[in-house]
Amino acid sequence: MTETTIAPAPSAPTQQKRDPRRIALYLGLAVVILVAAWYVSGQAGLDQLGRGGVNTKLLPRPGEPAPDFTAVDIHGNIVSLSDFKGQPVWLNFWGTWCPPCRAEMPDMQTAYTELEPKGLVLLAVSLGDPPEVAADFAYRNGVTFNVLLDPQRNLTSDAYPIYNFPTHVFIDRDGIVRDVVLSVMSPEEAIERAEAVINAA
Amino acid sequence: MEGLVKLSFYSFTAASIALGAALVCYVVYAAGRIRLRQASLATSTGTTMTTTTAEFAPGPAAAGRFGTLLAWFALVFQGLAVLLRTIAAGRGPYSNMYEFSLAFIFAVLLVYLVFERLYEIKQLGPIVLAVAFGMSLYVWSLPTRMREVEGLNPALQNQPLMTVHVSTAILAYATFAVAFAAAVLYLIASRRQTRWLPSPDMLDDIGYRAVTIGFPMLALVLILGSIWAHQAWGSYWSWDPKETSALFTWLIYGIYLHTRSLRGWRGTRSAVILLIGFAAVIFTYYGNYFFGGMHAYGGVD
Amino acid sequence: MAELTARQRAAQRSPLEWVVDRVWRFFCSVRAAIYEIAILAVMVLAGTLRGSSVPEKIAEWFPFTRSIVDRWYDWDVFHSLPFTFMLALLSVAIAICTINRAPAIWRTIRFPTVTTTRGFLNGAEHSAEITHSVPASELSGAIQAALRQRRYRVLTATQGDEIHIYADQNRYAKLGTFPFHLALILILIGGIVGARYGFRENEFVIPEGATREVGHGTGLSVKLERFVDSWREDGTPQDYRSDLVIYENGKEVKRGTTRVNHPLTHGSLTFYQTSFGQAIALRIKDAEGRVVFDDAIPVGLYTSRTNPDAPAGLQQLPHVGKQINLITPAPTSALPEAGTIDLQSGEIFVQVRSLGPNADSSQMPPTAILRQGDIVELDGLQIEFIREKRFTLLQVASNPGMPIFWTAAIMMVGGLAITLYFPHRRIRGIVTALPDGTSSVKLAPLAKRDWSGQRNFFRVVGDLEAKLGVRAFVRGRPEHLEQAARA
Repeated sequence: MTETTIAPAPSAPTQQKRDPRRIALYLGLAVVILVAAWYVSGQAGLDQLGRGGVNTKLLPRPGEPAPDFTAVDIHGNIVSLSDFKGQPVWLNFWGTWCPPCRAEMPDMQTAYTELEPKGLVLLAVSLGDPPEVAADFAYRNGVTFNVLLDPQRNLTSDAYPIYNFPTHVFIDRDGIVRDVVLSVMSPEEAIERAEAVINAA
Repeated sequence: MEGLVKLSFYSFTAASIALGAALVCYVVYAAGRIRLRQASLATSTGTTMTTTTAEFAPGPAAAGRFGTLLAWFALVFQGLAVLLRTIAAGRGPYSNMYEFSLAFIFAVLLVYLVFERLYEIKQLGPIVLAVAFGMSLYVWSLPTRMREVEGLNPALQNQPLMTVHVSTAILAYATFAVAFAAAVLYLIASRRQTRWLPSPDMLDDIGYRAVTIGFPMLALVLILGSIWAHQAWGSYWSWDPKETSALFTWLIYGIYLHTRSLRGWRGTRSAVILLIGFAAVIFTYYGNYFFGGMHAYGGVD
Repeated sequence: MAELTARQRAAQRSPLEWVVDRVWRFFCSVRAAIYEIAILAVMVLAGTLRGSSVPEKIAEWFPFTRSIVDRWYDWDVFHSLPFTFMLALLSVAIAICTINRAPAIWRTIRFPTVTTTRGFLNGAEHSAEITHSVPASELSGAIQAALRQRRYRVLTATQGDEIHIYADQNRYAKLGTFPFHLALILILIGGIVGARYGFRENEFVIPEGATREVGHGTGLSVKLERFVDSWREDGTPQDYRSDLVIYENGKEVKRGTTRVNHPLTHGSLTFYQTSFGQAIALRIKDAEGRVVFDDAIPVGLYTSRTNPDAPAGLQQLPHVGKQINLITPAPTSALPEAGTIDLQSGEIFVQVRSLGPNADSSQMPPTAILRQGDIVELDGLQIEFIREKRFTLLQVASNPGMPIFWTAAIMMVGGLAITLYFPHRRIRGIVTALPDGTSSVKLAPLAKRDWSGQRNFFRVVGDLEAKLGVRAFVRGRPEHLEQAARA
């Protein structure tokens, strides 16, 4: 046992640690590593980091101004978001090919019937649907709100890149985004959120 | 948040560099100085024979000292990378293989340095740090999009169970890595009388100590996993590939402990079980890639 | 004497006793246990690899293994008889092995042999010998004090002019092995209890607004108020939740939400969020105009035979002897339902089949394609497509084995920690009175190839040296402790 143990004498390290030159050497080593890491991580794309994942910014956040867009509605009118400045707007993105959106459409109508007298504008942008398909579906659901068409998904995608259907954006009278909902809503939930925007000063 | 993600990655880069340098130092230290000695012999027939013998001597002490210093640097940088990532994500960094491996490297370094302190030997370093450095290279090979903080899949949203479950698993695997290194050194030390390796008995004890820490931890991992499975899947055991191979790994270390306590196994036979056990750990660690199953979250595509 | 009677008893043993003894010894055998675990390990490997592409790869490389690989994929290892048998065998072995060790462990704890022999002390790889100028009783006292300081229990026995010393620590920690092994068996028992007395409904489907009975004699029914899936901007899922109302015999007893990882519990029942999908709300009237169905039919639990991507559903209406089949378009709008039916998004395909023995299978059942709001007359039924809804798929389980599992889990971790972190350490020694009134002692640990035990022993020796002011004659002391002793 005695001859195989090569542990250093316990007193030796403490003497070494107190040596200022040695401390300087150690600190220098740390600096060299940090500088090298700066170079290597820069090469590995440090600058591009921090924008993906949960830091992805696709839609305007609450508090930011709602970007404008222009599209045609099912009656052939040209409609811009900025036409409704001064009115609270509920902006919805959907498609007839999206089952949850189809299931939600009657609930949206229920909510809209209640909200329309309060001055709310509902713009439901159909993405990727042929115009006649979207119009037919809207007609069958008896919708009374504005259904806009973006069959090629090129009219609104710059302002509102949508990866999730349905997406709801609530915009106040001043054109500021107040709420973004990335799921279906019950009529009650829609009314609650819309009223918060209507009542916002 | 963006800044933290960047800083975490920078810190990880620094840790990787320090780790690589530490590994070089440890290898130099452990390989020792090999002195070649030539001896000439005059034989009875009048010819001269020259033989060369190799002698092993302890490695340069400076290499060992720098190795330890760099390993501590690596630990600090790696710890910073994990900490910043945890703050940026608001949870333990375990949502994908990038984050998980980041934490694993930290745990391996931590457990190793604790053992180095306790037993005052550095010869385990080349092996354990090679495992950590290999993991580091693996992280560098992962797709860059994994460096971003991703939102958790609903299946993983269970705090604090998720953080505790995975942290414990990482620590358990790290102690098994130390046990593995001790077993490898034991097999060398018990076969060659060398001055530059610690005593076989000490290596045997290090392996055992590591397992006594890792084994209950792995038991805890299995239990916490069962509790989680009960909450998420409605059944505490589903024979999912990952949980099954973790159980299998646990059984191997169970055999190791029982053969020691009941049969008095020590040394070579115990060391061989430790090698098998670590193979099972690797199998469990990467298991979800090969087998899918319900643990397949951190996919690489 | 004792040996003789044992041999006599062995000679008189009946065949039954012989068999019992044999079986007992089989279960106690560590070698048998290792083989059992090895067999289990192979099975676990086979069962684990079954879920992967590895068997497929093997079959590709070695075509002659194809038939074995196919059987491998078909073999549900973990629910097979051999696997259950091996698990049972192992748990019986654990139980018997543990019971078998109990008397010896108890003896070591309660009735240790205090006296030792010169042979043991002289043969020990690690030992310490001290000669001191005080009488034997005083030296013995000093040793006992040093041992107690290191948390040892000390027992002594006087034999002539020798005092035998036995010291141990953490002796009760040896018992930790019992809760640990009992826990392993309890977990298996918990599994059996759960399977035998609990129930599990893996596909409990409720469309929005509908109420469904749980059954299994619970008298409960559950209504889904709403299912909500929310997502992140980049399209990754964030949350799946179902708002539920639970009724007991028609009376509301609980209202709550179940989401992934956060199940809803009512009494012994737990509701887990598992999946979700689309449902079609229909109103069906019979020829007399009576409403025979006003509910939603989930689609997606089945798929269309002609296009496996197209979600389908069915609903039996036994009191009118009909079955309604539904097919909805495949989720990717670009692909209309292949083959016979060309469905646009928002459309559904309806088919009415007759149930019962006099159903004519040769005739094609009447079909129609509906859009929301359409009403159609099919086979005497008036079918109205009200709207689309969503359904939730829950898992309902009642597991009375859970308390057993919790108990076992605590026992397991506790037992393990005690066994591993409080090792039973033992030191033996003999104090001898020398003729000149002085005394000597020789101590040795029971720590063969136990590095930590040896280190602990030499710490005690170091204490003793410091206390008595003498150097011990030691064998096998590690270098750094030697240095500490010198200092």
